[in-house]
Amino acid sequence: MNTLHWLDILNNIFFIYACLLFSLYLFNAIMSVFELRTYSNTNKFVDYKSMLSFEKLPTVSIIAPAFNEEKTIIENVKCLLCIQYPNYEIIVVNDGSKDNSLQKLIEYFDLVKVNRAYEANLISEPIKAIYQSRKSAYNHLVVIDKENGGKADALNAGINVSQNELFLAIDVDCIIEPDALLKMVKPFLDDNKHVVIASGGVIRIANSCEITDGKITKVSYPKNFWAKFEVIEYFRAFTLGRMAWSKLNGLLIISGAFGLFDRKRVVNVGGYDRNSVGEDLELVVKLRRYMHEVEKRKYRVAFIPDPLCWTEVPESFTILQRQRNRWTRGAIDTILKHKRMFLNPKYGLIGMLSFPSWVFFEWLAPIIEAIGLVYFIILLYFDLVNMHVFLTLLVFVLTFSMMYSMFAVFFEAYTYHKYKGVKYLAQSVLMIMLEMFIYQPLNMIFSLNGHLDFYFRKNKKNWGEMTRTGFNNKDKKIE
Amino acid sequence: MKTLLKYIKYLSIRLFFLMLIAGIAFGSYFYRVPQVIVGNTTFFNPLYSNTENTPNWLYIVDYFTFIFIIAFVLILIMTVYYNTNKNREEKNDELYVEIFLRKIFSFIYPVEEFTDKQRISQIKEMEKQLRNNRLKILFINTLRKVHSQTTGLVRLKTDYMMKELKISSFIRAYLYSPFFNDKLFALKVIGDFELEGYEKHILKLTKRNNEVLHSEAIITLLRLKIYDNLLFLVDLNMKLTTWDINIIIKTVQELKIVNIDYQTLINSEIPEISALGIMLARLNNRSEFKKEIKNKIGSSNNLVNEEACLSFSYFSNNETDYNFMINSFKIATHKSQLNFISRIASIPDKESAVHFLDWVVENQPFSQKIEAIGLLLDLDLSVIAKYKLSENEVIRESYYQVLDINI
Repeated sequence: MNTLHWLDILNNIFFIYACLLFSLYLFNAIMSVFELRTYSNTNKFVDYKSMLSFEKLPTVSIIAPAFNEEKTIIENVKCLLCIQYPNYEIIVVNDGSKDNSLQKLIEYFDLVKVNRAYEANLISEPIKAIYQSRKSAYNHLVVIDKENGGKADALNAGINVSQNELFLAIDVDCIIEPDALLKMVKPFLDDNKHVVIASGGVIRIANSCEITDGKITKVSYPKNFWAKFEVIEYFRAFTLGRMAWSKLNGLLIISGAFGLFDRKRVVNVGGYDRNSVGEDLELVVKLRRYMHEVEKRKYRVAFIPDPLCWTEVPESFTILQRQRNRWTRGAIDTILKHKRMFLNPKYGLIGMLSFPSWVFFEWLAPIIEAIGLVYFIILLYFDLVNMHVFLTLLVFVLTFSMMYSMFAVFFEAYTYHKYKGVKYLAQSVLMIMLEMFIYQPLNMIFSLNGHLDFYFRKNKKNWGEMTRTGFNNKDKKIE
Repeated sequence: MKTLLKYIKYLSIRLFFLMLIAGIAFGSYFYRVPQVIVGNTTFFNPLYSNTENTPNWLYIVDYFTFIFIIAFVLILIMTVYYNTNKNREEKNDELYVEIFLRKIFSFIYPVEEFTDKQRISQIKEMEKQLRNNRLKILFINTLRKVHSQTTGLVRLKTDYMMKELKISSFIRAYLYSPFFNDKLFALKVIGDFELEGYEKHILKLTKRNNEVLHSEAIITLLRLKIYDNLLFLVDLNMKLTTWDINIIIKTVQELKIVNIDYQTLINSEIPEISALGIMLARLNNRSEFKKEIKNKIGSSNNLVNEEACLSFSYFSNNETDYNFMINSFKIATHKSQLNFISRIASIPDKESAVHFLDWVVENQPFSQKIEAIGLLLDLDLSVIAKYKLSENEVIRESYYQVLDINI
């Protein structure tokens, strides 16, 4: 075979990969429309407040790991205390903070050390002390002070101390809607065909939003350049991607910032992996594997499309880079750890569709993109590029990406309509256009860097420092 | 007629999407050939000269690019439309709700009491304002809110208002509509205002496979108080979700339904119905069904077993019951074991109670240890002293937790 023949084969591989990727995106969009329609139809008239007087409602622990969060911790805990639910406790895990997070909590909530007993079912760094408030208004607040061990370790410690049926794992810096827990718990009650093992919710971006007393009072499109891209990206990921996988019961990830889990089953699978930086993804995959291998019952991971949780996203290039690098390392770690699920019919749809699509379109995507780019440059150098074909394909990719992102924006406007105004729309259209030339290539580089870090460098398990601006800065605005 | 229009709308939406798909498929064919002849008409393809020499795969890429551009523009227009329209709609809705609330309250609390004639003319005037379905829905929902938050005379007035509005054809159209949301809306209104004449159709809806519709229809039937012995649930022969059970219990308590056939419910072969019967018996304090409930302890269904244990411990009042609880402790669920522990602690035979609780502390999971030590604190202080020095760390920790005054 001559070189040109090999080039033809390579071209076909790239083309088929791209077609599969676009088909998957199209499929996602269609599935998410159906799923959202079903969700909105079935929940339109639900009076969530009526759940407050239900006879049979699972008890919930909200576990919020905190590391150097002194800027926002009081506001965040106050927000958690506003959650509407009849039987819940908040467990804030101070994961060996080096700042005054713990001191602030002790002073503000009048905390005292208590002798609370717990069973260490999951491995975690030692707990130094457990605190509870002397004030009855905060009697469902528990603060754990422990040695630093990372987020997964802190969550494990929280699970050990919690004794409730379900636990909600959240990032302490998130703003949670007051009825979020009611909405997240509902799938555990209204499904008699499956065992619901976890439920996840949509994360929205709180940068530039107005926040008063721990609640979002005005939603604004971020002013920061990077955060603007992230809004569009979150629309796509949550509203289209996860909704579609939820429809197929093939969801593999529940955001670490906001996910409700069956405590007993999480303990049975050994809790969060302390050595993983993608502990949220790893836990869901592990739980699914456990259901297939051990319990062998029909089960479901539910997903709630309502915007229930608001979080601050990276506003600086460096932090964004660290975050994406970590996400990539977490995904690789999980894929390698559970590689036996790959194309294994024993795991049903997960093994045959969800997991392979993670491998091909999450794990391999940056590598293939990079190879494609290098390949194109080489072809260009040897004058082997048919410019007409190249431009046709380029326009095809660009128009598809634009349409897909625009659909995500439309979906938001049609369903929840949190972002308002023509100015926001104009900006989001601009971002959709710029995204393909700035944000997507950068993301590819960050992911590639994550791959290199995982395979060749020694910071596989490093989280990387994430600094927060804080919700209360500059007249309660994140700028 | 209104129902027919609903069906036409329902079919039109589906037809539109079918035509869209057919249009895209036809387009991909049309641009590949020089002309298409339909009957006596020939449609020439103006782009044929561009497409005839394009390889097949590239033509498809070109065609999809074209579709994506059109789709992008359409989505953008729709987004702008929704964004601006929704803002306007939300503002309009707020204004209308304010107006409706004012009208409703001026009807409920008139400056001077209305005569019958005035009352009817007031309602007629309101009716005139409800020009379209959207306003009707908005008004009904506002009225529903007022209705659900009030009782007594005020509630009677909202009931009267609803019945005099003459919107039965509107409700019927929604109930028979092919749209799921319309049916739910109609069921809510019928249930809230106890509107009569729809029972047969609602009974049919309870047999639907759609869980939400099925559940809502059950609640509406309950609200209509026609089947208040709840036996229709047994006849339905369908599984209930925990959500359904909760909502049914809530509705039964709210409406103070008393004619429930507990015996049939408890003995139902459908576990969820049986559990519902047991829960209702406990909540309504019907201790005469203790024997039936006792028979359900140890059921292979977790929910039935748990509810039977909880209810039995609630009704237990003699030594035989307590002994039965001690003997069936191991088959009870974790939650009901906790309940048994606190119940057994209150038996007259203190010695047996202390012995049992001591056994719990030594052998059961730690949440039960804590519960038992807490109860022993009131029963026999001398027993709990030994836990302080126990070799079992969890027992020691549980002991310290119980004695911690800050918890």
